[in-house]
Amino acid sequence: MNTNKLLYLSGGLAFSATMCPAQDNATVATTERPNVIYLLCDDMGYSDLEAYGQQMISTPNLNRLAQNGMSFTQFYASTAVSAPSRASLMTGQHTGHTKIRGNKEIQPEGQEPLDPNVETIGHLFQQSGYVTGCFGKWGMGYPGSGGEANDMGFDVFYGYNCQRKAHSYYPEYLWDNKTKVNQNGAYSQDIIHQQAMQFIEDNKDKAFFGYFTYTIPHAELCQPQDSIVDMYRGKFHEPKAWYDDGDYGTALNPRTQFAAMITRLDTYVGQIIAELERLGIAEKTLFIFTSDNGPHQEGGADPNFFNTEARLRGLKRALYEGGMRVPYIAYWPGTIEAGAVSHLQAAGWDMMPTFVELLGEDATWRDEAMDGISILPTLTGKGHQEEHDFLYWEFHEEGGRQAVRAGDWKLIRQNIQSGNPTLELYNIADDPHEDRDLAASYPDKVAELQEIMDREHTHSDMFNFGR
Amino acid sequence: MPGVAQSSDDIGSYISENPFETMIRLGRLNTKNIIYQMPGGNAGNFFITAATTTGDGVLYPLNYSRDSSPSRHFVIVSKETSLVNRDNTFTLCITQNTDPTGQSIALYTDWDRNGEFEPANARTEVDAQNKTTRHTLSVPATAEPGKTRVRVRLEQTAGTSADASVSGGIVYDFVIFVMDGEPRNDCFISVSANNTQLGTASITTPPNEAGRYDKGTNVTVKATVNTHYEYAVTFNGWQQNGQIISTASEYTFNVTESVNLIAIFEAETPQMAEPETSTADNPIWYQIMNAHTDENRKERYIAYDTNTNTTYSTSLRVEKPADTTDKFLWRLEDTGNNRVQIVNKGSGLRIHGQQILETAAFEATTTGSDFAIAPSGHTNGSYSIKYNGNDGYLLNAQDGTWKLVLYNAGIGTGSGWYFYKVKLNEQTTDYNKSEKPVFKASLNNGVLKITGLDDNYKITVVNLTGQLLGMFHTTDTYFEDSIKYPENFVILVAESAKGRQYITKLYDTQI
Repeated sequence: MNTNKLLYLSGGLAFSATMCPAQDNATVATTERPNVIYLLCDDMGYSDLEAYGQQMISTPNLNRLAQNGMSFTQFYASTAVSAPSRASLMTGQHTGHTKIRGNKEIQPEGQEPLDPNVETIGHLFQQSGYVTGCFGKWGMGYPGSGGEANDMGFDVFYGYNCQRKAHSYYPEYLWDNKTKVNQNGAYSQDIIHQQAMQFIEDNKDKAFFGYFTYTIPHAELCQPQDSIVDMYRGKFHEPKAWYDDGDYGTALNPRTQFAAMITRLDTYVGQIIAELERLGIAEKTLFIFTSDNGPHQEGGADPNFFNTEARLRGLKRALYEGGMRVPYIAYWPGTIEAGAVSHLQAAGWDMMPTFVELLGEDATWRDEAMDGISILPTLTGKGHQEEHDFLYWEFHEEGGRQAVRAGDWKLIRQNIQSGNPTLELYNIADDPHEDRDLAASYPDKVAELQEIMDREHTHSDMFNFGR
Repeated sequence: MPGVAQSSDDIGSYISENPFETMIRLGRLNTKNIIYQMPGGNAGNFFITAATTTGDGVLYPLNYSRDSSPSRHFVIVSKETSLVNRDNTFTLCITQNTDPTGQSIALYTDWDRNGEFEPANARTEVDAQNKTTRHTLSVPATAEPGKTRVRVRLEQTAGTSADASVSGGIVYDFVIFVMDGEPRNDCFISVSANNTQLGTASITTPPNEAGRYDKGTNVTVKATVNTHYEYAVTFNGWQQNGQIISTASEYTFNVTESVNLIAIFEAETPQMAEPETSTADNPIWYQIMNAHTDENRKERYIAYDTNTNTTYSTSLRVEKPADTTDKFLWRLEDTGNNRVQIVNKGSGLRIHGQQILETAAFEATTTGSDFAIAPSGHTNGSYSIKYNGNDGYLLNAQDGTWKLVLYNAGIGTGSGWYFYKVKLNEQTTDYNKSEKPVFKASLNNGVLKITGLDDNYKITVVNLTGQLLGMFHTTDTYFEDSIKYPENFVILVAESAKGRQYITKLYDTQI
């Protein structure tokens, strides 16, 4: 009998989703299992951190995290833009299976909602008696859709419901659960961070899951012009200012602003870790830092400038490595080996199985199948680490794209909607920058990976490559 | 300082054969780093083609090379880096695309890691013939351990400072790491190939316990040509500091300082040529590329492949990209009266079709059609392939279908073809198949296992910088042994008693 599931059902009956009061539900919270904080930042590229090769932006706290935690070299976001990447993370299904496979806006605010029947990572933790909180950008269900964060497994939510609204760092309002809160000119990331820190403080004696979805370093390139920005003033040649285009605000010195935003995010990370240590709960908290997709080139951002040597090809929206391979640092003092580096191939949809194992659950915890594997054995150094036979991605803008990675090989199919798609085959171990297309030389490998693509894309009325 | 190596023996803690692991290990070495001032300006015509570090102070050598100009006037080099000992000297060797004589070359360093560059006071030698300058730098005993930079300013007229704007020049920041090691009596020897697809460089002399070589001892390095590469490959010699110091594939030298030797391999890639006829016994093979310049139509080659798909619905088509598999190779067989037939290498079939414009796709058959091949008259140097010598019936690539048809227009680009002469590797008849070893090798937690050995082999295992990790002789179809194993990515060179040679790369599956 699954005790945790009973607890979930009990909690579900006692507290309806619209009331969102589970943070007060002390009866099921426990201190025996580790807390989890999953910090998913927005549009941060692989080499935007010093620990991942950045040379022009200071990230001392993330350096310290990499020194004391485990850094992954081959962790992939679930796809190359925000909503489907997050939906895949939430549902434990890759983008060929999950409902939300692209950014689909609903006017006047919000995005296409998650399938209301699917159980998310938030539900998983709730079932296990955790207090769950999401702080930042949601983007997986417009207000009133039934797919808001509070409806999808999060007891507490504070931030942007809508990805588009999150383009402004000085929004008119943010959502406190399902209530609009006027911001009166406040910088949203500071407010969201304060709420997240309060969540940690409030639940220090319980088990909690924090899904911190800070918007930095997504455009717009705007922030308080404080000492963090001063660190970079005059340091970079600034050849091109960005002027407000109605979506993203003006950035007269975009390189300076971008660098400062990342250092600001690094500062938030340092404050979170310091708070965990101050509260004496660092050793029972798994903290994960990663990004939802590759670096953007919007609002004046210049990723080619900061990734000066282009370790990976492609930006946000590309299914080349640069569009999807992201920094991933896991920190859990006393449990994760300090300074470890893992080359395990893993992706966003592996998080649900990982957390399932962490919580002592198994694959039957919900009816829907999960696509991923648990990476807990790698994190803890205990048990047998399964490996993926393949990873699969799809992307539904710019003509439609699919990609499969199986071992060292990766096949990318592009221009799908044209009816005359192109195929590119790369050996990522030999050619991580994806410069040498080997499709013509290895037709059998192309066919093998094409078969995976064709099999893994299940039909979607909403996202079906224009078919 | 947490995380900073305290002795040079810790180099293995930072340098991995996986470049992404090295990136992380070095990237997090210091928690707090400097934000350096980037100079403004605009780029000139000169740039660095190669930069290396040598000398006793080198714990890990720089091995930077580029064959094209950077797109900006300011370049940070960190993917390739160097670890140097403080209280020691090393030489930064810079090769440019032009003769550096008369140019201003200024070096700056920041040994105290305070963010302020100071003039490097380097001793500089200029080698105009090899477009090379060598700069010997001293790392002071007081240097702050950790990440720092050597800034190199190349410009026509010297700038006023390290951070000054550059006009018509280029500024490189080489990211290096200062380590706090004791002086040593051994040296770091590394070798690398200028192109790992073409060959492998290895050090066949075992190192000492620290992975280095004692001064005064002899070291032998070996260059192994990849005989299974699609084109013929030659070994041109060992390059040190921009100069070829030996052309012997096995080269022995006495250790006096830390060095990085580069094995220079060169492939005979297809070259555009005037088409010639040849026979089956003594063939001259060509790739035949259409001269179209439109983005979608350019760089398409005549190919014969019975595997069809939605893009290429016919066996005979114009396809891209090309390689040197049989389907892309053709020879011209003389049929008299200045006519030729175009014969495919793999199938032996000949291009064949009817004298019908645009609508009748050509095929490959045993009979073949006759063509006259003559300069198209266009300044691009292409040739026309004229059906039976008829100027109004020119072989062309049909847009979208990628079939071969006849056109009566477009002489020059539209109906022009380039002939690329392909010198195949003598030992390779089928690139796709023969490049793969006949055996299977795996590496798990340092244990090397090889199955399916069809001969007695000499097995050499090296890492990417050429250090020897193991050398074995096999006598059975199965082989298993452990390698001295600081690496998770290795190169295996297998040489059979019958003279066959295979090069393969292995990842340790335990990691």
